[in-house]
Amino acid sequence: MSALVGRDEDLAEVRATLRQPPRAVLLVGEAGVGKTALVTAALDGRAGLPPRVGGALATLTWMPYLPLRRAFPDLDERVWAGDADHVLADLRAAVAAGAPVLVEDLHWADPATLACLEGLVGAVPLVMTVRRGDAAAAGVATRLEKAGASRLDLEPLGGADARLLLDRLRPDLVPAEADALLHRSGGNPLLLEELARDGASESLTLAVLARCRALPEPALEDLATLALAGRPLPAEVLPEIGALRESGIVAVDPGGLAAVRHALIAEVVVDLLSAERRRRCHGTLAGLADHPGEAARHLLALGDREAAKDAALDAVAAAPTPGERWRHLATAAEASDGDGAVLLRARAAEAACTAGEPDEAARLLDGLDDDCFAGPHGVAVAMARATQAFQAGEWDRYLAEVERGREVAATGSEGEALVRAREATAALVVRNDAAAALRLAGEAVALAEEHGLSPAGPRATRAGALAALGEAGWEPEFEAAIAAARADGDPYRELNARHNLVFALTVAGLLDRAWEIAATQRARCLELRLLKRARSADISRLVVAGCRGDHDWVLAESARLLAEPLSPGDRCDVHSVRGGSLAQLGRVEEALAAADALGERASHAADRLAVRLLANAFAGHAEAAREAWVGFGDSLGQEDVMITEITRAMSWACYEAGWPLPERAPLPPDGLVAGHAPELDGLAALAAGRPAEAAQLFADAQGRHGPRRWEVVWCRWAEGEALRLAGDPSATSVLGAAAAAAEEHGYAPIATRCRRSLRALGERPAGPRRTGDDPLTPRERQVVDLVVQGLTDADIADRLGVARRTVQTQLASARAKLGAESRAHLAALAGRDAP
Amino acid sequence: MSVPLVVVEGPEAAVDDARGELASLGWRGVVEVAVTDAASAATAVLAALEGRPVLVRAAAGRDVVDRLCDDLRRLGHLDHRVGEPAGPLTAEQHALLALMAGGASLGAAARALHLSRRSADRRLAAARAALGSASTGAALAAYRRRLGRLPAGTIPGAEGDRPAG
Repeated sequence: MSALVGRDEDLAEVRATLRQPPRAVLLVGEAGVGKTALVTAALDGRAGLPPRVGGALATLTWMPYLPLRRAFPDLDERVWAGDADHVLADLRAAVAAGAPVLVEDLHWADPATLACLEGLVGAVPLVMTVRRGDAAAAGVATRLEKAGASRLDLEPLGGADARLLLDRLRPDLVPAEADALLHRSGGNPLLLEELARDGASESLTLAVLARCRALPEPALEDLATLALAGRPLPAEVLPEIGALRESGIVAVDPGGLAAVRHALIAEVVVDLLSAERRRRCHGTLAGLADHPGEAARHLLALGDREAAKDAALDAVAAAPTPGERWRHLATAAEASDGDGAVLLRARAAEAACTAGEPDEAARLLDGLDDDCFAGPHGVAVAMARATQAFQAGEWDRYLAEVERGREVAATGSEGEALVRAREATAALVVRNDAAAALRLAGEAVALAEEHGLSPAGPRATRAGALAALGEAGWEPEFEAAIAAARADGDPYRELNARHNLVFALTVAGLLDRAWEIAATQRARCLELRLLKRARSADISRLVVAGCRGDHDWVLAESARLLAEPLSPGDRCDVHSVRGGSLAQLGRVEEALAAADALGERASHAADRLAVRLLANAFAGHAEAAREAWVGFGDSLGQEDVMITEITRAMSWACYEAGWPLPERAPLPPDGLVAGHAPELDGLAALAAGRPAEAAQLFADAQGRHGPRRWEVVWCRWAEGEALRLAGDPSATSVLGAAAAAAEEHGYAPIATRCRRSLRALGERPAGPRRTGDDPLTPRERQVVDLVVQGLTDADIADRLGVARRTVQTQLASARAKLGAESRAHLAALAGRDAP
Repeated sequence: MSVPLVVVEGPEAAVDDARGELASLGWRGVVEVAVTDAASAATAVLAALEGRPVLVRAAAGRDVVDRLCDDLRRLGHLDHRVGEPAGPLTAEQHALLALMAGGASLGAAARALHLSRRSADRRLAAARAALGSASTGAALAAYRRRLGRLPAGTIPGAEGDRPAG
């Protein structure tokens, strides 16, 4: 039993009542609400004799005096054989010592016990509990109140208290997971504890159902209706609301809306409804619905497809946001047959993508077989699938779907215009062929105009291609595409275009402007109620902040975002940026963990390697960095900016390890990576033994890195280091300035290098701070924890991205420190400390 | 002190499994009841009231089992197992895993159980398969998690049997 949380007022009230004659409390509350925990705490706090504890049991209701026998096990058997007056007299004598008496679950008590308890009120401090919702509960409660007991109703925990309790039970949950759990439990501590420990286990489901079974049939029907509605209903439409409230399962708010208190109960009820009752309840709800979309859902469940489709299409027309639109389109598709259903499904999938729900879109499209490509809406389906693949970040499938669209679309048709626009996107985003993208986008714009379609999509692609080619005019072209999409009421293309504009601005090194447009995008997404898309604007800002070297902000913001229910692609993007920042802060383990969090996702394979490479390179682990570098293999040349960044990091790692510098592609003279060319030229000069020239180049690089603070500070150090090697006396002051800046911003890898350089000059800089009192190093602790979880050395090596040999060394060292004789002993020792 | 009260709604193998787990945690004098009706449910509850560990094979109607669980939850540590177990273990496998989870090597565990190294090896392989674990480390971790659901009993031989009411 966990400690009592959120019951301070109730506790004070129970204690106060026990001080006032007749010192009798009757606690009434639903199952699992914490009656026992509360009274135990209340009685514990009293000085004097420990309480006598008894209670009724459901299986043994037929045993006379059982609840009292349990409280008075010391009394002679013969006591209970006497008549009622005799028993009461003996009990009064027994309680004269004054120990408080607790008798629980009196809804199951036998009549003789209840009569006896009435007689005990006033004779001794007495606490009784009754479970709300049981058939006999109301009668028993009334009876004991009449006898003089003060009734106290115990309600489920409020939001903040429930959260506090959950936080103690499961400190590991992210806020979104915690919210879901709290919602399901409705603040019932028992449900919360069980859910937190095992999830919705079969055992818990059965316990919840047992509670519902206690309801009379008409009340059960109302509960089923309310659960199926999936939202609160006005209390007056539920005839049995009185019984439901009494049971504690349903609550009515001050506005008169009734809702199932614990979402878990609603889930269980909905899962186990009979087909017949389900139909009946949907019929009731279709009649009650005041919104066409909701009516459509219930009509569909009833089997009235024609009416459901009409209602759903009404709802589509009235829907103000993409998030609502796709749901109603999906209902309409489900209520339709034949080609009409195919088109509605494709539209619903596109709308779901607009709403940032590619998984929902995939579910919708999975329902279509390949025959539909031969039908009149083949292109629409192929394009919807392509959109979905794009959103899900599955580039190969995107190419395949576009290719399929090309096969299906007739020459000179509207379909051809749609397909050409996607081909342009494929060229730009997937094939990285901006010149081809520019040509295809031009054709797509012309085709779109010819067929009276919106040119917003291809224009945005054209803008992106121009930006990638470094040709002028991309920014106004983006603006034009955004304006066109807005004019056409096409939020998907509007948001995509603005998103790509932010990206282009970032690549161009115009970080302030990129930040500003990302803020516009965020506001627009919120206006359209597209939370997921708003998050992608947040991610754009994260990227910009990372480029600026605002790593503390990146860490705080990324932690906030990771606590949200992100799509897998977004989550990977966040981990990727976070990993980059951690690498630049020298937090290698965490950076590698962020890289691991990217998993095997194809669209982030390069990010994963890049983060590994950066973390290892800046930490001076040249071998590990080279492993990641080799891993790039054929992904090289796909993402210009990323390749430039890792080439830069790898070049430094090679220089520091004394290896030859890697070859490098020609670098762009401006934009985000404008500083890289002089920096790498400087590095080449340094490696060739021309430090004076290198210092010049590093000084130049600082200017050209512009808003990128981390890179600027790095080059300041590099300049100082080059000056030192050249024997220039200004080295000390340059290195000192670099060290101060690195310390100020927590750029540990740069600070380390500054210290090293200063030491080489004979200076004695302050050492790094050390903390921790665990006998194990953090890495050893990490490895041991994985052993306790049952992973093999190979698994651990894989997980942590180190060699198996390293894991074995760390384990041997941990074993020596903890005095473990074997691996199993180590796991047993360490497992004992684990929660 | 919380006494384990296990209710199994599942196949016989699940009951065997629970029996093995109770034994390896040191519980002796476990009362086993096949609950088929209200009367046998009462037998189980009365045993729990006496403070004895109880293992119930539940085969009665829903109402009876619901009431039984309701009562047992009040009398001790209810472990209510529904459906197929994740992988039932034999009592022999339990004995072996219990020793190894305490830090014994396979050789030491084999000696303690008077087994040849080869039989112990085979028994361990069977336990790994039952738990769906690829390695012995993973099997021991899974085993510890399973036992974590139940309270620990007395160490066999240290204090003798638990008091029987």
